Amino acid sequence: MSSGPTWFRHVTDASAPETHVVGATVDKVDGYALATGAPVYTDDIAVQSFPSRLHGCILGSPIAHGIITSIDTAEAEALPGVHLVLTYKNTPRTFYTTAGQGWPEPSPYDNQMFTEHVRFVGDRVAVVFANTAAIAEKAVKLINVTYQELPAVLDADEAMTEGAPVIHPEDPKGAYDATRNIAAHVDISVGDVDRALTQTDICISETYRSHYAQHTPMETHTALAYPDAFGKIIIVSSTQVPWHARRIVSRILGIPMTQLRVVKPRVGGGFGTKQEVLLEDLVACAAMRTGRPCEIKYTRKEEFISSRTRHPMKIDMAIGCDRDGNFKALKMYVLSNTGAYGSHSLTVMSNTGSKTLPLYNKAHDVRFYGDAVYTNLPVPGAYRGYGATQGYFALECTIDDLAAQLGMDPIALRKQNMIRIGEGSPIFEALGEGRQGVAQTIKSSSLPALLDMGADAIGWSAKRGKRIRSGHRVRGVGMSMHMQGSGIPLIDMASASLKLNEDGSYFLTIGATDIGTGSDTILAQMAAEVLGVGMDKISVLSSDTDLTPFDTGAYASSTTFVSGGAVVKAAKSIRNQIFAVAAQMLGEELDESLVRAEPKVEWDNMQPDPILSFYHMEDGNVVSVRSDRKVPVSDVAYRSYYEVNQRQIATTQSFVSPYSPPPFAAHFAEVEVDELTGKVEVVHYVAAVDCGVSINPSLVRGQILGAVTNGIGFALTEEYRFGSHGNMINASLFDYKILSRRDMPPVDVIVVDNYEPTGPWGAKSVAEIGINGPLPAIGNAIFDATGIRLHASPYTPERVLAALHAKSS
Amino acid sequence: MRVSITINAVQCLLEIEPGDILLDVLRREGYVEVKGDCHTGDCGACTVLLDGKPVASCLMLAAKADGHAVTTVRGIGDQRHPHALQKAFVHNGAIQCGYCIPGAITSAKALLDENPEPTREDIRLAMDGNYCRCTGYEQQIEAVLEAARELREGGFR
Amino acid sequence: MGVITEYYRATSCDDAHAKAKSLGSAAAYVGGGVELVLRRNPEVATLIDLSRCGLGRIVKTAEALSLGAQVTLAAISRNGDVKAYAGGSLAYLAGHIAHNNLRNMITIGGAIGRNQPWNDIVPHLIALGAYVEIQDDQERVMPLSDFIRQREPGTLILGVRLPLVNADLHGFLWRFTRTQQDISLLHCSALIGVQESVVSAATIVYAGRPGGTVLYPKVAAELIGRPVKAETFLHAGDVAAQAVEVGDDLRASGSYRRELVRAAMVRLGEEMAGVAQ
Repeated sequence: MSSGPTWFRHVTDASAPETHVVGATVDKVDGYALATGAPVYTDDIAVQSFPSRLHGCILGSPIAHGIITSIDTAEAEALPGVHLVLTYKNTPRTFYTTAGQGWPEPSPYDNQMFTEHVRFVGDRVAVVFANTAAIAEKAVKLINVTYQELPAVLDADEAMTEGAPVIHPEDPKGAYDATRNIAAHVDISVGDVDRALTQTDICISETYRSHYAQHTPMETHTALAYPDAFGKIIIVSSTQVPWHARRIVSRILGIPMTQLRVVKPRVGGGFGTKQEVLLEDLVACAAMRTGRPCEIKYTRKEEFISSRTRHPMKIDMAIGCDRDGNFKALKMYVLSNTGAYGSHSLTVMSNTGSKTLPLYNKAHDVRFYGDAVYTNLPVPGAYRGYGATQGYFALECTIDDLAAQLGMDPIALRKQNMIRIGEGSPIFEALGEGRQGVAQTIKSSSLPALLDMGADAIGWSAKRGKRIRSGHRVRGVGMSMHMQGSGIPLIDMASASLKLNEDGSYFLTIGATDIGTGSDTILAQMAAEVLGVGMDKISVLSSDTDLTPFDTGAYASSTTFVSGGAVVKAAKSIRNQIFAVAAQMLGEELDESLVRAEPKVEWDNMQPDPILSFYHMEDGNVVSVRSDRKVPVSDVAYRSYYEVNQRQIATTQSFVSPYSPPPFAAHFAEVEVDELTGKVEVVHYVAAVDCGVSINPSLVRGQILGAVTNGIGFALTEEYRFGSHGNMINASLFDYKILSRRDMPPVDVIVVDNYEPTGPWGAKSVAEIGINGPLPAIGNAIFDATGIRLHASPYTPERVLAALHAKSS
Repeated sequence: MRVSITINAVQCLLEIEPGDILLDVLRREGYVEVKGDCHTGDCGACTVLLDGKPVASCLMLAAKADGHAVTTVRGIGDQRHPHALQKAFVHNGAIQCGYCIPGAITSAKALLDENPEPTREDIRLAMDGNYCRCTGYEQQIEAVLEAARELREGGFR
Repeated sequence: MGVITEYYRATSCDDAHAKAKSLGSAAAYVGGGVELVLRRNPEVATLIDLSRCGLGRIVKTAEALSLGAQVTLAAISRNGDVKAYAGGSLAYLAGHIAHNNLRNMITIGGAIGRNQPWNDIVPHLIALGAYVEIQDDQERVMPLSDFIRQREPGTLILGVRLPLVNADLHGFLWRFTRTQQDISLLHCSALIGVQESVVSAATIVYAGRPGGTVLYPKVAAELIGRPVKAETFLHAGDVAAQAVEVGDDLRASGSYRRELVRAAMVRLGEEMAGVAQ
């Protein structure tokens, strides 16, 4: 057990193998570049390398719903300095989805580069490319558009009603029922939940509504495209999904992949919003047409209005249990608002159930169903938590109410019903990402410890139910419990290549997409550990569709687990090749089948990799177990490259897993509610997390702190406000309030490591899970303090005060 | 109009338009270590020091900087000679995507120049203009505390 | 700010004012420049820089604490005399409002000159009884509360005077915001005198309603001569809730603001109870 600084406890159980680089807080490989402001983001590259590039400016729809009856770009085109104006009249009409997901794509093909049918305020109408941004902006104002306005759907509750305007009359491929504005529908049942709910002793049923909110990465979406000397179009983009971006752009524009390369430089924050292809098609098209470098960078206002948000949801949650609090039935209905386009509509909604309901696997009758509906509002998409965040709001608050009804401690109630090691849930198999899922059995979980340590850290027993008062301020504590996944089982695939250099160092290329998470660093750590070297011996290049192997991208909490799996396999493969040469150099026998065996990701106490009983790596040397003699890896390289049996020592390995081991978390919040104003202040927050082995504890902590901070902002202040015609009225950081460092309470992070046998070096994911806690934990703390239950988010002072007044009257 | 701005201790004569914004001028002149996206003074990624005081360069008229000293994060330290703050940010996991970091370190530098022994609250107040969406701030605060300690103990410049 | 064709560095206040007068609405003074850049006025082609006009000092005289128009909020927050004035409320405000980058840029003259509806500086200065020094055709001093009602375009703000007679009263500030660096959903400033546990003097200002600053002598009258007790302020809160005009905007509804108007008086009562002890 090691103890960190004040607000960080990192606890490791003894079942993990001894490691040197894995489990250590090493510096991020890009740390110094980022700390000194190196020119590493898309726009930096554009400014530095392409000073004569064209600047794109987008004309967005001023109306929520309508048809363009005429569009005249002549005046704009005539403005000196304007090179290209794109509209629906001169661009391909290919239907596609902006969602950067695997193939076949689970989101409906309801998007076109441009269309005469505009569906939300901010929808693309035209784009101008000009010598300067100022000229482009001016030209956009010279485009004359007339619209025939159509009635709009501005409320998800009305989208499916009889006679509601049809937002996608073209009936997009993949949409569930466009005539009723249903982009996606899901309905899975285990047992007979309705019968079970009528038969249980206690049945609680509540409805929760979550709101429009946004990722707000510090760097807005930016894309640059230029033709190289041979005519290939190179896209540099702040993307989480370079391969999906290439595939989608290739399809839209009909560019063969030999003529298209996507490069991801450093990305200034993603959180899901950059899992969308929003600008790459425009810059690639413009670069092709003009033969010049072309860049578009969303303004902050465009980022708010025209990029992506979290799906607002209405969730009906019902739980049936016996008098002792044993869950019997769970029923969850989701009405998800997918805005004007169905990006991630099915999969986010599916995750709302699949990442939440298995946590309480004791219930035998379960139904999860829902509709994702089109509205004429901004477009939600992937956002850290990916539907689970909304699901946990409903589930964890309902359980809290159930505990109150039962007169039970909420922690005890959860312990009694939670999933444990060796157990599964039928939901895993019934509900996947847009298709059937894969059965899972929990192999690692620290949940009992997380609950106990978290409760201890927040002072649960001294504070819960005590309503400690100071004037008109009253305090309370609340908690919630969570799981997520680690990649999408049997869908997410990652690959990694390793080459040996003569000095005994390695070149690691990975498709994995580091968007600030530190994946380049932790993947290098995993390779270094296998290869018995320090971080200085691994050079990393990632995310270039021409130069690195394939990876589905940075989403679904997949990188540590899936990309890590590929890296461990590649490292074991190249290690075995090195062992083979070393054996020859030492004149020792080594069975070729051991060298060629498919490398495994798992480290197994009972059945260690058999080749390790002959050789192992130590400090850049191959050490023979039999003779205790050593061969420097550098000598192996020199010999193989220049002397004997010459060949490249290199490998490419890929990994796809039938497992998606969930990380677990228990969150605790202490709040102070001002009964005079309704203001909720979080005074202390505790996030206890199990992510298997922490590959880099400092980066693990950072993921949790960042997710919690974003989650607290989501719970308290961050909210889209709309005008009467569906126009966002607070589209700036001045009006849309994310939390600054002065707003943050102390956040304790407790990481209880365990060993996940299916993960690379025992690791599970950690990036998303932390954002699921604040909304329910704070809501439950407000309930503890005041007795009011907030069924709609965010917990603004106005909403809290109204609830306090309603309760007292 | 022609202005003279001392950028990272080098006097620069620049030809600018009277209404130019300092952030735009700096990036155009190659100081792309100054980031910035909001252009409304809200995010802090564009923070530079003007005569030692942190300002939002996206709201600063470049002409107003005429005759003054501008320091960017690269003037505080570079990869070969990183400043104690830059080292501490790297060592403490205070950097994720890194986009806010040049601004955050610049604000922290101004703080430590004025107050070598800041409290956590001093740090929160002095760096409240630098939004970060990745880290949740805590590790950055710890990094500033560590750098302050290192600087007081004379370990770094 | 449209296309700026001239950046004029005035060498004195007379020079600045003469230049502004000659150009009329085509010219604007540059304080910190923040509002100028944020809310561009297409008419403006000439910017008049005031940094060489000697307006950057804080001076204490026998009658007043004088803050030059070009003094930044950060400088105000650090100044010992301001920290000592009326319990230090202005220094606190200037040191905590918005965020550090802006506190280093925003000047007090600019804050008064621009006086956006959400301004949090002007209402507090008015509560403190500030005067403004201006130059149009001559140098004049007038109450800030008068100035913001009747200012003429082109008027050059030279600075702010805080009368020392108020220095020992208690400056009260309550900004209700969503986050620490947010503008106010509701702003209440007050200057309160207490003698022998009785309110002897009171000035009450509300702002951010969502409109700008308004003085409420009627609310103040409810306090003067009454004991520093919770009931006094509760009653004043009821009167204020009737008197203060509130409205809706994207931050809050009018009805919620009305609750805050009342809450502000409760807070004032709590703070004064502490002061009185």
